[in-house]
Amino acid sequence: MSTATAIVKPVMPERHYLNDNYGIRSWLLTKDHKRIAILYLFSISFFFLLGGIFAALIRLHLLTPNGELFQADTYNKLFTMHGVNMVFFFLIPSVPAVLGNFLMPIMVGAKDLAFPKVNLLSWYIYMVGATFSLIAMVSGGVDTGWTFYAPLSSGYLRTHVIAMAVGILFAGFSSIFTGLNFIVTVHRMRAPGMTWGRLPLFVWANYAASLIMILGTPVLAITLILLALERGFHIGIFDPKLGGDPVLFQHMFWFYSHPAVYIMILPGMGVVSEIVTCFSRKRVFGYSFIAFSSIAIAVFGFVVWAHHMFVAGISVYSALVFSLLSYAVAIPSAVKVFNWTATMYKGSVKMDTPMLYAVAFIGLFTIGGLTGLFLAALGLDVHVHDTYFVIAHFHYVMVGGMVTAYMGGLHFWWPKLTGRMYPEAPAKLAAIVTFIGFNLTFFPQFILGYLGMPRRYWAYPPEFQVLNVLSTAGASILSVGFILPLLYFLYSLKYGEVAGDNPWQATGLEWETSSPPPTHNFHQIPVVTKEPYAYGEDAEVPVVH
Amino acid sequence: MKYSSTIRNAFVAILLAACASVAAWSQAAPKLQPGDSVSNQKPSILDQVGLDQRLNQQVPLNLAFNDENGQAVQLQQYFGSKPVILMLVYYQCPMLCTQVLNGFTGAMNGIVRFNIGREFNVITVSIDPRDTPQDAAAAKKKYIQRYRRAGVAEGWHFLTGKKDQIDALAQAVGFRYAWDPEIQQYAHASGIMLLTPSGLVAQYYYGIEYAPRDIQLGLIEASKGKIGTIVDQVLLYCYHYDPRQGKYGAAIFNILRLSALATVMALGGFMLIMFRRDSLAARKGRLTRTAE
Repeated sequence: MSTATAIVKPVMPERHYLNDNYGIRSWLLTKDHKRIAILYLFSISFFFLLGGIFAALIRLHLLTPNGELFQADTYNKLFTMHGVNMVFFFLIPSVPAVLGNFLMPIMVGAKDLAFPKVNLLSWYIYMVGATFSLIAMVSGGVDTGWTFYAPLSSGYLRTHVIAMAVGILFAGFSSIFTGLNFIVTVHRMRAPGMTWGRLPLFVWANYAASLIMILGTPVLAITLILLALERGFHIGIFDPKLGGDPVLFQHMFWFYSHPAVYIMILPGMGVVSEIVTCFSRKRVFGYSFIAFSSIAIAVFGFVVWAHHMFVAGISVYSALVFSLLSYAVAIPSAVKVFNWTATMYKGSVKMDTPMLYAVAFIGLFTIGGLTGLFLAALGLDVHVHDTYFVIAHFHYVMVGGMVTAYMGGLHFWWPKLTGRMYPEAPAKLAAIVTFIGFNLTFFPQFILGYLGMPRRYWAYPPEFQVLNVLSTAGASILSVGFILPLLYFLYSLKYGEVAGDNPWQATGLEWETSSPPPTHNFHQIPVVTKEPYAYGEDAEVPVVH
Repeated sequence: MKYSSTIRNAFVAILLAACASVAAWSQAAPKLQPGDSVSNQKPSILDQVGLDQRLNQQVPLNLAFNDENGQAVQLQQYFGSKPVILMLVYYQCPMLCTQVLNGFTGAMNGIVRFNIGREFNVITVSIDPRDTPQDAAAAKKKYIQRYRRAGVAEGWHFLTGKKDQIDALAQAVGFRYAWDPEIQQYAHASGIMLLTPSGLVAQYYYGIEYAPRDIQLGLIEASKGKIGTIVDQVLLYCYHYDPRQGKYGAAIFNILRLSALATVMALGGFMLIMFRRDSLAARKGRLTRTAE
């Protein structure tokens, strides 16, 4: 900055999507994908907070071995509602519905998504689902576990299973609509010159996730409807007493819910691909490998579901096949990890907040992914099935992976969303605190699980207390890491530095329009003439050191 | 563009994999066959015993038996307009047959809408040639007392007969039994058969307890819509008889398979057309079509 080149302080654009229109109606009836993204941002943040509170209560309860804080029934409800909130109302919509909604049209150079009204409808459907689930929670909660295993859920529990199932059903349809919108948008709305080989990797990742949403979510809907039929009308589908098959439920549930894990993680991977290239100032390593590994994950993800059922009495032969296929999913995931590291290699890496999150993602996702292989191994799975090892594994993927990527993406595109920068110092602090708190929370759980502490138990033997106390301590640090961003993001809305169009000197169409973008995204339809990550060689944009 | 063709290939792979997964799904649930035994060492006499499914087989209706009054009868006089539930037992049977008859009577009492004698007939045939019409009459008296609905006496028949006639009937419906000299009893399978009005084997219900709902739906199906309402027909469509388990449920699989296929085809078709457009546009030298 000391050079003589007078850098004009960026100013906010006069007209943008946030001040184009005022009033509650202009938000609730908006067809602007950016405003819908903001609506989603608020809704899912609410559920993240709610799920976080449940998590905090769970950790607090597990501070002592004999479970002195809650009754066993209450504890069952707490972990169920933590899971349901986090999975169906936060993780699945998080990146696609917020960042994806905001960025997908801009990234392909379109004015909006292909079906703006369907997009708004998807938010309303999400809210209907959210209302049902809130009603279920307020009126007494659900204690089935987030997996709703039958016949426990269909015939035995007296809690509000059907209301919760209806809520999830609606949330599912909202994600089907989002997926549909993304796929049609990518096919039909690309700007001139935006070939498939020039699409940002974030778009590829969301495209792959959309395929899963459309193909997988209906199965969840069917499963929940069948569950409600059995529960409400005693039509025997899953309950052996009524002539049903309980393993059928597990097949159907995991046929969606395993691919759903990829709905959650793929968009996160897309975010990381964007951040890593930008902050390495280097062309991404192996563009087409990263792009097609997303598709490969989406495809393989559909044929691994029974690895959740190795101890449920499925045949050895199908278990072998599913184990093998689960190993196969590790290949495209590893392709991504290696490509990100190769991108950073010899790049001029700059550890700004988004990059801190991205690097954390790479490390934590690798641990989460590798422990997934432990669980896909037939023998070891018998030992660690339904223990805290599983809990730790999927929290490494979902929180260490997905939430970290989401936070990274939120920081990366915050200037684009709001036109203002977040304060860098507290943001870096939050990223580091999150990383430490996260590992302290979940690493002890690997050990706990390996030693044999089962998941979902209300009490545990006293010898597990030290590790549980560590985990609870970690959780309190982690919560600081999540509350800090809430504070400084709010602060930045008013006092943040004006960001300018491209504060990161990043490539990509979203950085070529103003921040925040105008309602129609571009002042004129862009024409794409170069590859997506032209960092370095054609020093078109000056690199600020 | 090279990407479009790569993408198309990748896409075909997705379609194949998705279809494979649908197929794998149907294979994945292990199912116990009704004949499966828990233990590996079956007593040898039990090897000769079983209830094989002869679905859609014609039962010979010209077989001759005696009814509980000692009258000579032919099977066909019970067929023609109503479905028939057939069970093979013997009246001196100390254990299983009583269980079958008790379970059956319980299930019949559970069916409110249909009555024996009015909407369907029941034939109980003894597999023991030594049973007499007197034995049959005693059994009939015992069980119709428990059923207590008008017309049951005209609809539920207890037959006895000669060995060749019994064997012909048992063979037609796949009912295998054997005399066990050691315990001086018949070893036989337990289960009841549902026949259509024309004498075709429609369904089997295994065990000694039968779900009234299953039998009721079976009766509707077996009567080819002659009893039951439109709603029943709709319900039947998604609640089909599964011969492997003797329960409804297979149709759920079919519906799922079909809808999965339809979803994959719809999405796949859209993608295929779109990728084709892209590659056509590329061949014509345009980078892509202009944005709409």
